[in-house]
Amino acid sequence: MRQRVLLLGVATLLCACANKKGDITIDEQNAMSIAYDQSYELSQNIVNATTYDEFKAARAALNDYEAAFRTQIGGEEYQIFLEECNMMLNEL
Amino acid sequence: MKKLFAKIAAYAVVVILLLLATKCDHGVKITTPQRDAKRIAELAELVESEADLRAVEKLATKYELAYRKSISGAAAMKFKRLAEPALIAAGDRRDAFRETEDYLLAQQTQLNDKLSLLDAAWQLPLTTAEEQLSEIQANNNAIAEMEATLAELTSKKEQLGFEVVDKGYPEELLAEIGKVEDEISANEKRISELQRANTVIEYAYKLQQGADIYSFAVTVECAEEEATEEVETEVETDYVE
Repeated sequence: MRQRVLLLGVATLLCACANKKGDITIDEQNAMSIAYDQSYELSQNIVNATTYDEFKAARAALNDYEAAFRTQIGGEEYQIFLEECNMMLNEL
Repeated sequence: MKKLFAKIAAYAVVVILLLLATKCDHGVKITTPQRDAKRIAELAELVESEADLRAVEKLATKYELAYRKSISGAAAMKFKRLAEPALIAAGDRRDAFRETEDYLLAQQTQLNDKLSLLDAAWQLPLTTAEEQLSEIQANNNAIAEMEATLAELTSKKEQLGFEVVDKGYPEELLAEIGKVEDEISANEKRISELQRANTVIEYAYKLQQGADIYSFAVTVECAEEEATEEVETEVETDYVE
């Protein structure tokens, strides 16, 4: 019984610590440069997509970064990320 | 007799508890107007949202009431005068935060709308350039008609607005204004939908075919002109023969 409880506990711990696909951590110290770099790269991927699947993947990546900036950083860096993405996509 | 004394004692306890409860000031301990105003100013500096501002204003009110009750109206006025600038600055800060939040929301909405538009464009099944261009043209014609209708409805609403004031706001006229407003909203919504549909077609060609759909319009027009010229040449040749 004790062994089972221990195994369950370890499994729970591993699941909690597992880095889920799509989880992005943004370094606060470099958030500004990440905002500029990623907004450019992610928007370019959307603009340059040649198939619908490529577009969907690019959109998902952009949404992940947008959520990460919104929840982890906020403020000026998040504003810059949004503005740059909008500017790049408006040139389409 | 004992029961009577017990009853009186119980009622007395209840009354005393009620009196104590009314005297309870819920944690506001006044010191001096300057010191308490400084505390309010420090809290006001941390205000970011409407909720924060309300909490600080509520605390300032409690202090003011405590001064009025415990010391004098003059002390309460002094406290209020000292705390007021900080509360005004907190209100301005709250307004600035609200503006920033509204701006961020607008940017988010713009980004999401653009991505949804591109998604729809990728999924749009393309037919021939001629058919899609006809569809765009039909939409543009419908938009032009609706814009003319919209102008008439707006003018009508304005007229009804003057009439309703002159006649003292009768119910029937107010109801009619409501109907006109509903028609205006419906027209505006339909115009937006048609404009969006046209944009989706334009993007669909750009994304799926890598071309501007209006370049196909030139190609189609040139092809039509060439076909017309060929027919005219054939007719002339036949005539000469």
